[in-house]
Amino acid sequence: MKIVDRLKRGRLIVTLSVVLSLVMIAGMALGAVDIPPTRFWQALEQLLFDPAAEWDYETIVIFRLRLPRVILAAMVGAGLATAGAVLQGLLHNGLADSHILGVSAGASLGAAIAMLLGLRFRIFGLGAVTPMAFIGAVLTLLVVLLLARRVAGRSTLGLLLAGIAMSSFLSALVSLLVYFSGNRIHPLLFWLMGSFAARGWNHVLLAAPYLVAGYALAFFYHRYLTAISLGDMTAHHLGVDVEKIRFLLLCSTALLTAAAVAVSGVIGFVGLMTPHVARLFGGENYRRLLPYSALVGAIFMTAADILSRFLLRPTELPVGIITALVGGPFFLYLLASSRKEML
Amino acid sequence: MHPLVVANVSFGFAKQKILKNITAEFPKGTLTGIIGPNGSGKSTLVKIMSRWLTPQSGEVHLAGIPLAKLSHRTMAQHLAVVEQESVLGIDLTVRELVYLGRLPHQSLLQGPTARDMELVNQALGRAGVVDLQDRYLSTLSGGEKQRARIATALAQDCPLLVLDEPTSHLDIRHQMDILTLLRSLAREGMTIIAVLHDINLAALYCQRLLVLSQGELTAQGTPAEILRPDLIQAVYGCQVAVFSHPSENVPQVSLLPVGGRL
Repeated sequence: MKIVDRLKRGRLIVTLSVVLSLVMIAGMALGAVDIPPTRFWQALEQLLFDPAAEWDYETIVIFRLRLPRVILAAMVGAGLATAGAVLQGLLHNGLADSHILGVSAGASLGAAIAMLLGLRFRIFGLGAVTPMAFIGAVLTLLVVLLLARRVAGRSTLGLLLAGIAMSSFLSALVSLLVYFSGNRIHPLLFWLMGSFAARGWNHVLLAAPYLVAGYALAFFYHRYLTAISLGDMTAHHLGVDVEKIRFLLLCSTALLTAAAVAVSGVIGFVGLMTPHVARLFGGENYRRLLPYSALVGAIFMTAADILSRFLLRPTELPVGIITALVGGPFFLYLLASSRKEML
Repeated sequence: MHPLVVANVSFGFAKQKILKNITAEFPKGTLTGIIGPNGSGKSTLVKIMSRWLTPQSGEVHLAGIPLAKLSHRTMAQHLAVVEQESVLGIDLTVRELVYLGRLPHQSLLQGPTARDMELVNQALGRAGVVDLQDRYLSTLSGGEKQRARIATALAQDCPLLVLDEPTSHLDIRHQMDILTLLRSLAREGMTIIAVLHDINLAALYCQRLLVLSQGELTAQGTPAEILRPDLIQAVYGCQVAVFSHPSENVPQVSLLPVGGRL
């Protein structure tokens, strides 16, 4: 029996939103320095009614450091989870996730080039790494989509294979760069493990339009997505132009992934796992699966980010380690306790 | 003008022709059965009618318009298809599945209208799955699933309905339920085409039969014209006796064992 049969569906959105808010508040309160949530009001008051005054230390921590970081983590979590949910439906494969089309590997290559060549330009207040990662992701996306149109045609397996081949190829290029990079390797390895450390409003502003556009595109087409998930032929009979819609939705997942990877590095596991958790809550109709996946992804990523800076404080762990370290066993537990529903 | 016309349709690969020059018309308000041995091209013909496959030559006309000229949406507003039993990729409730039948009539941002809900409820009722509407498809029996699929096609509210082996794997009671439903839909003016395996059921319920054999349209006509021992033997390669149905004025066939005795 699905959990949703016991919970009112409308209430679930509210519940998940409340949980997300609580986790985000915790994310603002906890860190190298703990700040009690009651202090938030004081800071907000200062921000709204006395903007000219010097910010005190805690206000700076809250509004310059923690708030953008928490928002970014939630956005990226939601984006990767949505991309995973969409891809699993489009490709008829529950193992698909947001990194499968090679977009992450392209972003990594862009970041690696920026770091190892020591590029120093600044765009939009951001160092070279983030824009280069984004460019790498977008270029890869274009190549994969073109390949998919030419090579794969109607076959989803062909598309999957094209993505995996592209991903391996680009990862090999990254490895090659790492091999020849000598002692500049350290920051790249960190970047590849994913992190929200030292991310600010610039990163939020860079990623937000793409994440919002990607999510909106997916949600507009949720009925088509449900139809395609049933089967390409079934969708065709329901009047869906399967190839066109699949192309559009691939663009949506690529936007989501490119933006997420550019601002946070490669964070694995969220895109693969979250949609499966969301299915336990709400079944497989994309009308519910998309918002549930996004919310669960946001909650999970924000919580993982809190752990990443809390566990070994004052030093931070890369969040990608946490997502797999905590997510892996949790996912296995879910898998074992509800085998039938997930497979 | 007939709702669906197949004109000179051929399909196949270099050496192997699957369909050869098929021409057939499907008059409004009739239930037409397509019969023929395994591999005779029945399913391929259905896939060409639904434009899943494009014929190498020839055309299919939907209400006088070539299929190739119609958008996906327009096609699905006029022609509903119930595929051969296949695994659905995700698990929905019956109602969710049937609601998807409204997809070709909905715009991108529009939610369900009162008319959508009315047609969904009607379709659930006609296919006899009202009581199952909140059940997940994975919990249904084969017959229940098939009725849910038919309800989805009915929610599409199309003048044309094409079904590929709607009664395979069903027991005779469920076969009867489904064919009775198709027959009454045809009586109300729907044009229905069904690929059927069971010759006797086809003869009992269909007004017209098409016989496919090795990719060719071997014969078409009323059940009385089709169920002849020589024709059945030529197409299926087995001896049959033809007799009259005990209560309906239609022919039925019975296998004669090889060599005259078992």
